[in-house]
Amino acid sequence: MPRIKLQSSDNEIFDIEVEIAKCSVTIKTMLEDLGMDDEEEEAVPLPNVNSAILRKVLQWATFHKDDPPPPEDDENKEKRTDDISSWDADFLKVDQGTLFELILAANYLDIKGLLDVTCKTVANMIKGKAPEEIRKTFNIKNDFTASEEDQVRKENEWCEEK
Amino acid sequence: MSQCCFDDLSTELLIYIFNFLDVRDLSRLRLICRRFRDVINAWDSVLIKTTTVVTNQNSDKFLARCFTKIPTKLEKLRLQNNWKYGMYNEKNLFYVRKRYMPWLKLDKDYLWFSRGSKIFNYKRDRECIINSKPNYVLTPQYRHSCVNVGFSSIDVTKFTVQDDILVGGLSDGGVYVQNLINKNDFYIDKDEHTFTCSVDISPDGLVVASGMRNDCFKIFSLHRDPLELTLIHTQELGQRAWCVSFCEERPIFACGTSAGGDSRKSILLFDTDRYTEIMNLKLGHFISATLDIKWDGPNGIWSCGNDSHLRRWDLRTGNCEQKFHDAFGAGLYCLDYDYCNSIMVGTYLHGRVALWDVRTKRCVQLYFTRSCKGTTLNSPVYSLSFDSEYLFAAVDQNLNIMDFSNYEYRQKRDYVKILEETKVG
Repeated sequence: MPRIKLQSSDNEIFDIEVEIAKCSVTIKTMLEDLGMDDEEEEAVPLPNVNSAILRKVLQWATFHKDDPPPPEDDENKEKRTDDISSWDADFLKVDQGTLFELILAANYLDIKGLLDVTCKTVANMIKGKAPEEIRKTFNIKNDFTASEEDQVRKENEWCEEK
Repeated sequence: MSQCCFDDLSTELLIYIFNFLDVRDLSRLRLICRRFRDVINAWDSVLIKTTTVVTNQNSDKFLARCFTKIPTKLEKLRLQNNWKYGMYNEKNLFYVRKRYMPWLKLDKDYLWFSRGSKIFNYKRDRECIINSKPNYVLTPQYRHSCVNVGFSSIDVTKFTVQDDILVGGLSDGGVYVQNLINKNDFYIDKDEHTFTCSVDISPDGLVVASGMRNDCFKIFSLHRDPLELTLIHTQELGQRAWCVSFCEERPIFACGTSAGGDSRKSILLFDTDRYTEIMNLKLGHFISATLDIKWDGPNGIWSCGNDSHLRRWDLRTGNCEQKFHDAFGAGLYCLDYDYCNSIMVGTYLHGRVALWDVRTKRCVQLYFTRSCKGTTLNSPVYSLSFDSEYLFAAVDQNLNIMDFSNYEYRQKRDYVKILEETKVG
């Protein structure tokens, strides 16, 4: 089984199977473009991902390496967020900072499956919650003036009444 | 522990997350902070897939009569909600004791309204919907009038405006044309024994058509300088010509009739070159006048009339492809369309307007115009138009304007629901 070395932003080297690394479209394209298909001594630098996050990403990729490729997005389909597998749900029981770092890494490495599941997790943390709760959950500062906030509240009223 | 948070995510990633949320969650998220509000306002047409009625503004032709271009999808949904459940503020303007058959035409900046012998032009504005003082008033009168003793001026039946030209049909069988820039005007074809039912101007502005009560339509060429109409063709129909309309996309002219005679042709189609009949549309066994028509692209026509059906005809098949029956079986006097999925008809009784979603067989809502005292009316809706926020309905003694843009007026007037419940009960 051919292997490849990946280098994190804090210079840790990860020696893994090429097949797992290719979960990442970014790495896959890089390998194809550079013709790095044989045993390569040099490590692929990933300056946007630190070792802690890269370790998590590779753990996810290893578990999902035999997954079929994710289906193309259907524009008109209502997107579900209740279809997260139990393994993924356990895997994502991490602190919020790590969750956001995983989103950034999944986006940078172009791993659609991981991006979907992390974003769905965040979406689930938002769903059905009142604005104040959401601000508290994500530690977001309310930067509206009173009149701006009133305006949005007024525009929203119709959605809340039933 | 990592300090990474929403601030570190690009707009693209925010949208990726928001894409998993529904309208309610998205509207709440707009209350979190400015960034969320701005991203959702800018991208809500991507995030929210549902299409709306009345507020869709998909067509430039519809947008040309909309006072406001609705900026966001959420705002479109908010307004649609008001249309759906009948939540509006009503204004009742220009009450007169005498009963008339008014007509109106709406565009982005102006409302044209005819009643009796006058055509009014009002500038639209946000505060009072329309300023109650008209911009100007046109009063068709014969320049060389010699029989004006004890005879009030002639009533306007219907009119249309295109660019700088206004054409009006008159109740004495005449046709009136005015250049709106230099105010020059011209009359033609006075005929004491008939009545001009409808008028239209061709898309190139060179030809005027008038539908007559005495079983014909007339075609005039229109010269601008000096302003003049010249009769070039009279088409005998053997039945009344209730409405006339030129197609914008191709050289065809449609005439809605009283469907009398043996042929019972409801809508006749002519080429605009020689005015030879190229097609006709029949209602079948009904004898029913077609009172209003609107083109829907090069091959579609919407029609309504006495038989209480709103119909869409497809000229490629010559058949009525869609048919909507009025909930109370009332005759339909006028219609207007947003050139996408929403169509409204003015009915014969109680100042009632019905809104249909053409994608479904469902009547979305009914609107009953009211008198200034708040009581129900006993008038037909003679003419109507709408944009995404306002419905204008002309009834015998008033012009009613319903404002659906409001936040405050939350009382539902959901007659469709009431009707459904009565049916079940």
